[in-house]
Amino acid sequence: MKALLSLRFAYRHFRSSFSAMALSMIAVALGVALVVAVRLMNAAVLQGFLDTADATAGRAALVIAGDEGTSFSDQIATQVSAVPGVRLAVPLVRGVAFPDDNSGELLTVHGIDLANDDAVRVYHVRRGTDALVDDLIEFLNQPDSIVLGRQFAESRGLTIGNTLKLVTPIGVKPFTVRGLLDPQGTARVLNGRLIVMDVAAAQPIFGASGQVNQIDVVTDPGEDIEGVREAIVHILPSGIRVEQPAVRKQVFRRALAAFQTMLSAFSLLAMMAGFVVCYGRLQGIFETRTWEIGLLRAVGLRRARVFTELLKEALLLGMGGIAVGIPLGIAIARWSLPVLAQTTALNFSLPIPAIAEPPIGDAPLFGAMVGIAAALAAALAPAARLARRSPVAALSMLGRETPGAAPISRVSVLAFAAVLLALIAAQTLLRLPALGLATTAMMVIGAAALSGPMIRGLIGWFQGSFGRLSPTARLVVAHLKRTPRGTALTVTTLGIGLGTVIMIGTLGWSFERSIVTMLTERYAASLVVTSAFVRGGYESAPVSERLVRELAEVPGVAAVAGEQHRRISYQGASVVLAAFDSSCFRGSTVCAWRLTRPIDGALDLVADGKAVVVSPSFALQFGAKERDHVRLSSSSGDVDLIIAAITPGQPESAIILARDVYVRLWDDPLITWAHVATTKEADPNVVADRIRRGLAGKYRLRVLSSAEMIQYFAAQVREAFSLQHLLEIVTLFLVVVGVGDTLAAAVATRRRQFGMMRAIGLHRTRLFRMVMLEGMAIGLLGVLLAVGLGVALSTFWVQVQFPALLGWTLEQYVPLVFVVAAGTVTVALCLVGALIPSIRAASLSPVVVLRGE
Amino acid sequence: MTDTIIRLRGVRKSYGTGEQAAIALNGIDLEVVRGEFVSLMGPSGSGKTTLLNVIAGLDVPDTGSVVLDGVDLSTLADHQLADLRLQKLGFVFQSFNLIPALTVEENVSWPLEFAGHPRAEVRRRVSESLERAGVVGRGARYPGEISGGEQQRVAIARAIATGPSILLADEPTGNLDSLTGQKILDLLQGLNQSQRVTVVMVTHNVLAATYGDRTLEVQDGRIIRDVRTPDRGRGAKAAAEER
Repeated sequence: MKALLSLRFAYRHFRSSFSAMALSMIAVALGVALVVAVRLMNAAVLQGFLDTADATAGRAALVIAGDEGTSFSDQIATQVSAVPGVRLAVPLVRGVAFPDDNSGELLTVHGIDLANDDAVRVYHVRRGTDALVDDLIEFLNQPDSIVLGRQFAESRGLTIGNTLKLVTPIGVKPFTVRGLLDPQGTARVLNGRLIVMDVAAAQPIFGASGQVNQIDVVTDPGEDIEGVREAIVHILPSGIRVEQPAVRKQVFRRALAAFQTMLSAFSLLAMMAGFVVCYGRLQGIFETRTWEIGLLRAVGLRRARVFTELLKEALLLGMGGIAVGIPLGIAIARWSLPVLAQTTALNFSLPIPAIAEPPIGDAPLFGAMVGIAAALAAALAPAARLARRSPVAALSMLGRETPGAAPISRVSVLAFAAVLLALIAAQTLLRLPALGLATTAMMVIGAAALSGPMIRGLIGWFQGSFGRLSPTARLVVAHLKRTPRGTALTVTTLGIGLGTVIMIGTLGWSFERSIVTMLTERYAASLVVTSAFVRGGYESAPVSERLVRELAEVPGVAAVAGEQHRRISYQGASVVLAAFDSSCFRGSTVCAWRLTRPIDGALDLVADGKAVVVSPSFALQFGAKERDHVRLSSSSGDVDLIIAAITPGQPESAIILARDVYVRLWDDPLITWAHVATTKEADPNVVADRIRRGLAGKYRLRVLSSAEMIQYFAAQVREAFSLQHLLEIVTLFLVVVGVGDTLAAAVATRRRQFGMMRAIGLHRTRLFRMVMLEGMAIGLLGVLLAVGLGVALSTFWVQVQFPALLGWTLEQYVPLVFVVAAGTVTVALCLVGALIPSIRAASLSPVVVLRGE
Repeated sequence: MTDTIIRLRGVRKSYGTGEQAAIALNGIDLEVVRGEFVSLMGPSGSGKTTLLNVIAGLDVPDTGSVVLDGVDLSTLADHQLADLRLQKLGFVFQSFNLIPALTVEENVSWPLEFAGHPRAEVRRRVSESLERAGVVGRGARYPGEISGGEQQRVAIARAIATGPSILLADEPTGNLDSLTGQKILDLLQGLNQSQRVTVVMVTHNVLAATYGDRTLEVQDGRIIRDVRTPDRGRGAKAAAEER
């Protein structure tokens, strides 16, 4: 038993072939690093958002709220207070503001009843009986009074009594600091970027009089929370929900799960590339020791023992890989976390959470398991093949290559293809994240299995079509054709690696182009006016709808349409509500809509508030079509609207309607964008300047041309996909490692052949050229496989997986320039990887090599 | 006047430095006449293979001169030595050293292609060489699909395809059974006699040595004996008699 568990024998071999195994260890390490980094980042980002949810909820047992950003009457708080079991019903106004110093720093505003100490303590834990403000009377008498997070105040050199100018939805306003919040509770989570003010003072600025965004409920001790919740439900108007904070956290988890699944899939694809590198190398290493295995068997070792010892070597390789990969993954996570937090916020229009050091959690253990599993899996087939070989046959293999496995039969290929098609069809219908990942993995495995036949077919075609190859090229082609196993593994590594890069690049490009196309087609107005500050993701801070009226009075302005976006809950799913002023639907001076199969007078109906337009994602998600009805519910009532048309181009699940209807239902007087069409005679640049001079100062606005707005959104998308660059770098590094490793092994196993060729009279330069040509051929074959795999994967993800995971419908755009560039870089990297083996081959001394004769 | 094709004068070669230095050749003087069949015999480590490598220009002697068909090898650059080997020398190795990825025909043709011969010429020479080497109907097979004896014949065909004036053979029968080995020796002798190809062959086998005109005994890096074989072609007859 002791001998069975001992690693001593395996360690000796591992040590002696360390240089051969080193590159495989790097491949495993890179794969593990990505897996660990993504897992760490996903956990940290999720925890960040959950902490935000926790801090927002404070000590509340139940939270009453409408859809994101919507408000309702504060009288509901009074009604809720009367429900048995409710100890406290605390109305809360939430908003955002920015310091008027162009820093763009977002401050969260809480408007609460400061006179009610119990209400204050729901959110803001304080030591002992310390008051939040020294003089409450003065505080309440001055509507400009605020309490500021201590951390933020200290960073700005502010103290009690100082004035702070803030950009609010109704313009720039000065506020007086009358209290400081210690970094606890909500203030801690938001790193001090928190303002607390009286609810009555907050309502006219950040909402509307008599309206609140949230009511937090504290129940009596020992009360059945679920019972109280059900009692509250009965008195609430439609469109307002009551739930436990934990449920809200579940909403976050579900919303993020799909996005994080996508990231995990990308990291696992990189791990698969590492696995293939490992498999190829271990196979080569084990093969060179076939005779030694024959010796061990002849001496008396059992097959199972031989198999186990070979697996132990792979285990050591895996352990080496994870020893490097795990710390590397932690470092990558620390470095990339801000980017991922921003990307996630961008995708879900959330404020970027304050995330400190990522908690380590189970990521290292998961990474270790994946790394060890990959190394062991890579060794299984070669070790089993070797252990099965008869000792006599093995002993005769000294210096000779072992025959490969039987080629895959046509029946197997057809069966595999049938299974794959069935999976794709199933995923189209079922939309399960796990099924999509399995399908993706099967596509990659299929590409790997087909690489050998593809190489043979292509080389055969090449030989037939280009008979007059140079002698060097003929030798290279003959070698590649007759050693398909080694070539196929490297080509597979290349194919999977570069294919993943092409897939991610295509997804990012498709998203960017879809957005740009939609914006370009939809917005006909010459100018777009928005806040200079960003509320969350790519959403600008809200501005009062008064801006629309003021813009209309600017000379040279022909028409103005305000736009507001909100996420609402519709039939249990989250959809975007995009509300436009009616001028956007009448005529085409402000907006121009591309509609499929519109009903008669579709846009007029929408402008009149009788109909809506929906996105293809919405139609797909809810099985909706023209003439179906949409029922929108809010605290102000319900409305039934007909679907007038579907408008392509909008990736998310969206309902587009007139802003009059939106304001009526949700009482939201704010807009995010104002689209300004100028008169024919007016110069848009001149009008833009007038707006900047007249209004930008009051509201802190940006005035963009349509092209600038489109570029802004395109840049946001690029930033959202910026993590792909990390995956690209790691993958391309794996490519160089894989190719260099394969060619180095090929040169090593063909030393005698090269020595003989030199002895017979081949120039060094010809040998050099031969190996370089081999590297280039492998690169070209790999690029071919990668393009096929990349296009197939991206088509699957754009058409099936993205709609399933994220509810997005995109139009597929293949970034040809990117694909060509990536292919060229890959071939160039293959040449780089081939350089040292080529030099080694050319430098071989025939005397030294042949002395082994 | 004799036509000396190989001339070595005062050739010394050692490996390593200082106390670790091993003397492989210790002052070799040798002349081989065109068309001779010379066998080199000696125990392991005596310097036979080193001598062969020096003759081929694969190894550079520390001192002394090597003149091959009138060309002093010390005046040639590395690529010129390679060209010389391609055009004037043929190599036969103990382990055949055929390229596994190439067919029999391709294994014979590639040196011709690299020497720049036209395709028609290449095809003709390949066909003739294989026929001369006694390999018929195996052109499309791969080395792994033919016997050891056939592989060595193919290796000989490769060596003679370029029309070399000197054939260097390092233990050509070392990996073959005695009957097959004898056939290979018959082939080499046939080439020597019919084509006037100068053959220098390293061998451990006394019987093989009798196929040549001369046998040089090498020991400790020196030629200690140079014996002429009185009855050329005795080898085959002697072998038949012994059987």
